[in-house]
Amino acid sequence: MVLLNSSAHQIYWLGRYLMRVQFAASHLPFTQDEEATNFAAAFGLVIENAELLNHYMLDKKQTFSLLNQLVIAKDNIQELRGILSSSAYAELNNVINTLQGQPEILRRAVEKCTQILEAENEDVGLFLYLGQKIEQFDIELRFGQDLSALVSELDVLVQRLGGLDWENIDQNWQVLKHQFTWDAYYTFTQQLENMFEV
Amino acid sequence: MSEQEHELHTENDFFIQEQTTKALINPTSFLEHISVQTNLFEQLKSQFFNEMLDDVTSNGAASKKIEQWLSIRTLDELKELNAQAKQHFLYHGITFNVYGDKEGTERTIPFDLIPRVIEKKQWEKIASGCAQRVKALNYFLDDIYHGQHILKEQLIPEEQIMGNEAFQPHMLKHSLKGKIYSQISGIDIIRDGEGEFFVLEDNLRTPSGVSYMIESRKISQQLMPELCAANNLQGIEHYPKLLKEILQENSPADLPFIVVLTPGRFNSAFYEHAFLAREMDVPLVTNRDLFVENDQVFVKTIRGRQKVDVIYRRLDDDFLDPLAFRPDSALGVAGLMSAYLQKNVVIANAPGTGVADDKSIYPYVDQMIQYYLGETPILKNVPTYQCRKDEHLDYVLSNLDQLVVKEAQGSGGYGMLIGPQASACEIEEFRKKLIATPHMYIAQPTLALSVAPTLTTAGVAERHIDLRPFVLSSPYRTEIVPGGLTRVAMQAGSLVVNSSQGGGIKDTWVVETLHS
Repeated sequence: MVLLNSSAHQIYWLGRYLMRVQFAASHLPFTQDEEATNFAAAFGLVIENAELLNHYMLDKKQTFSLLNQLVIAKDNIQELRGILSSSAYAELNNVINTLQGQPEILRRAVEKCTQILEAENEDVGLFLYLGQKIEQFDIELRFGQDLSALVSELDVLVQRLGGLDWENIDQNWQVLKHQFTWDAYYTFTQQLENMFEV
Repeated sequence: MSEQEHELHTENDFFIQEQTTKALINPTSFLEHISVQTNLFEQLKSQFFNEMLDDVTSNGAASKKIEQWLSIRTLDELKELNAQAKQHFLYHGITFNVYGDKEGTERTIPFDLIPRVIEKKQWEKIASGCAQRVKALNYFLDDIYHGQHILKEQLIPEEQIMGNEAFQPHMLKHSLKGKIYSQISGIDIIRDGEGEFFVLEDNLRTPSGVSYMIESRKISQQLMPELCAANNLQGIEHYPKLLKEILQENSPADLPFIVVLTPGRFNSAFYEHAFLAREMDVPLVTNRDLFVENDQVFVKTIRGRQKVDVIYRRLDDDFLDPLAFRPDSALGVAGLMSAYLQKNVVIANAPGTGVADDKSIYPYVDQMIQYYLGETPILKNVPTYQCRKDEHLDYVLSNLDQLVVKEAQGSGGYGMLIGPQASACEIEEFRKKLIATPHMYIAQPTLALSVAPTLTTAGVAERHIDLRPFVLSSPYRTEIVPGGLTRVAMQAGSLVVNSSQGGGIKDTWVVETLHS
């Protein structure tokens, strides 16, 4: 299979969306207003009520809701139809089509999607994992968590990308891995985006 | 979007007279009253040619087996199998979007469990007739873009070619390997009341539906494996492999790199584009994956640029290259035509091929076969009146209530008059149009399409059908997988087989043992 840049891009973003949903779903339902406020604030939202945030996170009308994130993931899957095996596409399609707005079901759906995609082939797995880890970096940076373990994992991925002649990203990666700043993060991810367009 | 991509879903199946198809079986007493002995299919006899009953060239062995298989099942069991087919299509995302559907709902194409049977000898006639036709059409295309002998000898009026919107001046003097312009052709075939085969339309641009043909077979084998095995079906599953080989053979490269070019996932035939790319193990690309540099086409892959040798395009000429055709095309690749004309890439089907399947050119295909091949046409054309000719126009104007009138360059069933179904007002409106611009119209008699037994909610009933075999052409061979896409008007009394209006599909069985 020849993996196109555009397909790799779709897989990368699919990985990001799946990670985003998995992370948020793992926090639902919020029971404390303070916890909800902090969570919302990390994503630039001013929602100071746990019940309200729980509602919004599963409300299709809200662009940031988990269900909407999965709608976007479904679009990514559609775009990948030419490269996914028919069984993988069918399974993914079925998982997404039968989703319900319950955190536990969402978590299981994301896990299932990840398993299906990881089983496809090495290149698909690489870009899926890259998307997941970049999203995780984004999340952990937002919440001020310790990034050292994640940096080690990303180091390996960046080296693998170098094997595809993507070594252009290495310089900005070196900056980011030593400076956990939004500027360094945006510079690196923007360069990654550019690589999909080359 | 390609016209013919669209046509699968908005067919021009208006040749059939509006007659109510016969209601067949009491749905609640399917088993009680119907048995093999009482001839389930025999009860379907009507004024239409029934493919399972009325073919005197067949001994009906396959029909009998199907009839027997149906008869030992209750209607509920059969409905359950049809429901499983629908579930299969849904689960595998074998769906299409209907243009203009505000809900954006993905629909499955209705699948009818009861296969359409074609005896091998009949199939051989269809296949040889289609191959003959496509060969002549390819010669015709080469001629009109080179010597134009057929025009000089006035067998076809020059203005009908040079003034045709599908004629591409870019293609003049551009030679193709083996003179193959249409590598993939779909020939729409109907049978009339006597069971005679007629070509209704040639589709040489981007004929679609082959994925449904293959999926129909898959689901048949899942749902009635014993019946499939008992009938020694001719295989169709190798179509993607054949397609890949044919595309390779049309390229001068030794190991050509092939891509399938799609307008994108919002195209109604996107499922088919993805299906073919996946089955051929070649990339499915949109224009943003491709670029042209020094008259070479490249695709962007994660391992760098890859030179492209063959593009199986599933979009119309107009959108291929904004520098050569429509400048507002957001689907095309700038510079593609330049690369093509330098023979650095093969585009299948070739730009400018559409001129050969135009409705105003269709009446001349018989002459093309005689002119280029020196042969008698194996398959008949539907008689066609060219309103540009005074004597034809006079006849058409006098018989509008009996005829189907079409725009010569129309497609998808738009801009048509179906005389037997039209109101007096509509007929008068068309009369004015015909008098004002006769050259823009053709007319054909209304034909009664053949019918085949079809499972409905009320039992087995007759429904009108047609057939689209797919012809693959390379400089070295012509291949037609035995069968094709059988489309069926699923609604009672409906004459329209298009899927956007409830039309469905049947598996097409070419069987070896029908004839005794």
